[in-house]
Amino acid sequence: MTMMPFIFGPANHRLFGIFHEAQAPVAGRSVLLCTPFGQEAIRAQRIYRVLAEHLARGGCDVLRFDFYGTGDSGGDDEAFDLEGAGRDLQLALDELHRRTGRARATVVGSRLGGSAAALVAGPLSGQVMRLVVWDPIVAGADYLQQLRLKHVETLEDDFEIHDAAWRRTLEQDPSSFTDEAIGFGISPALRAQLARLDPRQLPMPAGLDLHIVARADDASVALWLDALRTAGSPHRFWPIEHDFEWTSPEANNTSLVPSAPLKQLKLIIHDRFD
Amino acid sequence: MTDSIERVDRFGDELVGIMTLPERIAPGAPACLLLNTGVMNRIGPHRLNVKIARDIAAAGVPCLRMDLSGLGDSPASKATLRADEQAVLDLQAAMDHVQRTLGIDRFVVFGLCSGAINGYRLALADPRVAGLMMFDGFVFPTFKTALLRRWFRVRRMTWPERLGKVRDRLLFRARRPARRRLEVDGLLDMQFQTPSRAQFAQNMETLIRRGTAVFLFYSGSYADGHNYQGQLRDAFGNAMFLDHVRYDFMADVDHTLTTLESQRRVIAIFGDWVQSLAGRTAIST
Repeated sequence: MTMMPFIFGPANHRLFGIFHEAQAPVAGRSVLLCTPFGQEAIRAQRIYRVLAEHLARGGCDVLRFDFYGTGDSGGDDEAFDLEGAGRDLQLALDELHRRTGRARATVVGSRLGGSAAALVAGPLSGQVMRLVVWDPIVAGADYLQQLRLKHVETLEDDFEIHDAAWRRTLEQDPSSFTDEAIGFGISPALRAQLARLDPRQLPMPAGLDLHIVARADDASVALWLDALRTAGSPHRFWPIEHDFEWTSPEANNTSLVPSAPLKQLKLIIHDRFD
Repeated sequence: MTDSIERVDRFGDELVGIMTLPERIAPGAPACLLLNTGVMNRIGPHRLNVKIARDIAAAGVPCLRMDLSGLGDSPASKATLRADEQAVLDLQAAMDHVQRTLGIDRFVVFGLCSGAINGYRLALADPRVAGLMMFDGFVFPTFKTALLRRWFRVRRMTWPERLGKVRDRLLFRARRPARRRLEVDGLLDMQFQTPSRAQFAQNMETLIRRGTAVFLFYSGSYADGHNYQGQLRDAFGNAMFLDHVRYDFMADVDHTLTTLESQRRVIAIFGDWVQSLAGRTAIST
């Protein structure tokens, strides 16, 4: 199977991508995989590789890439934000187009990668044939709170001697632990964008083939689904159960490639619904 | 601002690596190899390898972060070697590649946890390794380690918990579970074989006599294994290697460098150490 890692984008904005060439190309089948941010990107690396290999074997040309400020792409952690990620997504779609000759692709994103894709789905609708989001972050303020808590829990897990100030600061100062989370810097721009990210104000363009894969009990996704129904935005929701812990420290022996989302994502991308 | 100069390199059996190149390679500079930690891909825990590579390359030292066979984006090997044997072959393929493309034949290896052990095996197998930093590699606990470990546990308890513990000990002493044995000499990840103290001391001496600089770094995450500065001296007594390796224990740094501040400190420490190795020759002992 041909798998080609490469670097693309302008000299001051280098992006890392891996192109998985289809074994037996199916007309019109290009897939772009957008990674999450921070610890969640590390957790996603393996399942993205496995998903890309499965899709390539099934006839899809697949490009997976790291947003600027993540993974092997250029930039410090703080260079990542949602607006920049949207521009990166455009660059990646152009790169995929250049390699396959197909103007439109299925875009798959998880966590903040899904958020970034959803936010630019309107402007890029001419290039996005289908949008598939897995456990997307749609309630940014809640997400930032989760990251704060997880950051302190990780410190408490990692150190034998706890600093009581961590937990006290977490509880008393809402602005604490917002400029870094579980080993990754968070820029003021990203913080501001997360504060504005609201599931009730995330409309999707009409005509977009939108698929949402998430746990049935994901409260913020439920709010988004309500808003989409109210706005009459077409979509399909695929509830799944999985034990994938997105922010788990890498040393823990947690699932690397959960089967339920892998299977569901493949079915959606291949049109094998129901 | 222009990004660091980086390129994708393929070598060995289609292994994947990212080479970070300085604008100008410093005279006498070694090349740096950054290894996988556990099952994580080449970017390392919290993207540490990316941050190290760009920092060190800015000081004139080329850096290759790479995936061993079957990890990250590298394909699994078709050979049927044990993972530790395959790792050494993969890393030697990386050194061959750097030597061929950059003309550098001295390497500094940075390995964290399982990466430290792979680096140790590589250094023993290949004299091109001029420097080895083992971050939370093998641990050799002492009696004091065990005492401190118990003290740390007590410190974490509230007073009611402490009193409850004493009560349980008094009331249920007969049914107390078998005394928990102090962790024997062991690596943080038990799938790797730990050498005996005598073997480790001998191997360290071999490296030092050969001219390989060694940096043994321990974080504050493994109270069972290494929990005080000076533990190596207690564990190894007057072993020759202790006078020639650099040894740091930092209780306020955790195993995967969860805070940005700890990342900056370790990157600076490692960068300074790499700089100090430029042009270094073997130690006369």
